[in-house]
Amino acid sequence: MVKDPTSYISKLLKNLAKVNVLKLALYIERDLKNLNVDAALEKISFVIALVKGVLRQEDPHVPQVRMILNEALTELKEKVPEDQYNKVKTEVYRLGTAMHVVSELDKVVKDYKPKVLGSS
Amino acid sequence: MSAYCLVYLSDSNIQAELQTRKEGVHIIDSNDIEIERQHYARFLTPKLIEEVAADNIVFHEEIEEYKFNQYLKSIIEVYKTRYDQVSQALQNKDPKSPPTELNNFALFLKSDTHFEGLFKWYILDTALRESQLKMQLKDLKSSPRLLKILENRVSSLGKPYSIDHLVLKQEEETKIEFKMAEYNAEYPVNIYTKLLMNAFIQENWLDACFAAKTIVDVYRFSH
Repeated sequence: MVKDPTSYISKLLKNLAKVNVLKLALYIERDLKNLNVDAALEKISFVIALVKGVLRQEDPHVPQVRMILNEALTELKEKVPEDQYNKVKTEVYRLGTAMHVVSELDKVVKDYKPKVLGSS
Repeated sequence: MSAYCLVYLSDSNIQAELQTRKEGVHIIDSNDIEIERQHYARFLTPKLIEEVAADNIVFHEEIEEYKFNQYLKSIIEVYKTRYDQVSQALQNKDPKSPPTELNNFALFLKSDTHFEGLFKWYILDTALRESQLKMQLKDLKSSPRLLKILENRVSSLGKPYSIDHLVLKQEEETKIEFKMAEYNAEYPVNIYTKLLMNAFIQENWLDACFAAKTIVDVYRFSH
């Protein structure tokens, strides 16, 4: 019989998410060091979607991502205007507080459909 | 004793004559040619017209048979090559690599050992469809001579290429239809999995989130 691909794809998805949220966290850290707040905010929204939508709270990658972003946030203080700092702070805090639910992915995806699937 | 008289006419003359007489040669389908009160047929006896018509049908079948034989070699080559490719793809598969069963319908059939016969039937059918003949195995039911030629050729291939029978039983047709439906239901997940991997490789985070969301929705993964 055909092997049920469900467990394979589930593991693949989670493993890819684990690696890529750490990668994203490091990119965000770099953006914040360069005071590129808008780029960092965009990436934070993807990190939150992947962490909350795919990973579990007890996955070891989750606190690692949070730690990288908290350190970057601390370094950012007093380097950018307060309103910009507060925007980043709110998002980073959301990473630590929001529930781990699949619907977090919906918040960034909305009605988007990739071009490769035949629609913009 | 018989005699034939060949008269060559240009097409424009025939068309003009048909137009004025509203009579002509009507081809009902490729196997059935009816000579209807054709101008020159008036000189022939009904018995002779029947003989000519029967002769034409035999001639038509011979042409079909000739064409079929011309393409048979390449059809069989395509069939054998695909059989080997699919078999090797499954044999060389690393258990840690992503599932490949959904890459195409042939692989999907082959990966289920109960469907070995239908897998071979399917790839022979696709080889026939994609050939210059543009035929299907189902079409051969109405052409027993061609069917026999193909059956003999396929059975001469020996194991593992030979096929028990080329005309499917009703239950086999149903089985392959069910399998196709199953494949069509599973296939989109394959697309989204590839999209997910590509998106992460290219660091297209929005596409990655879209693919992740779709896969999670389809499989209803829970944390």
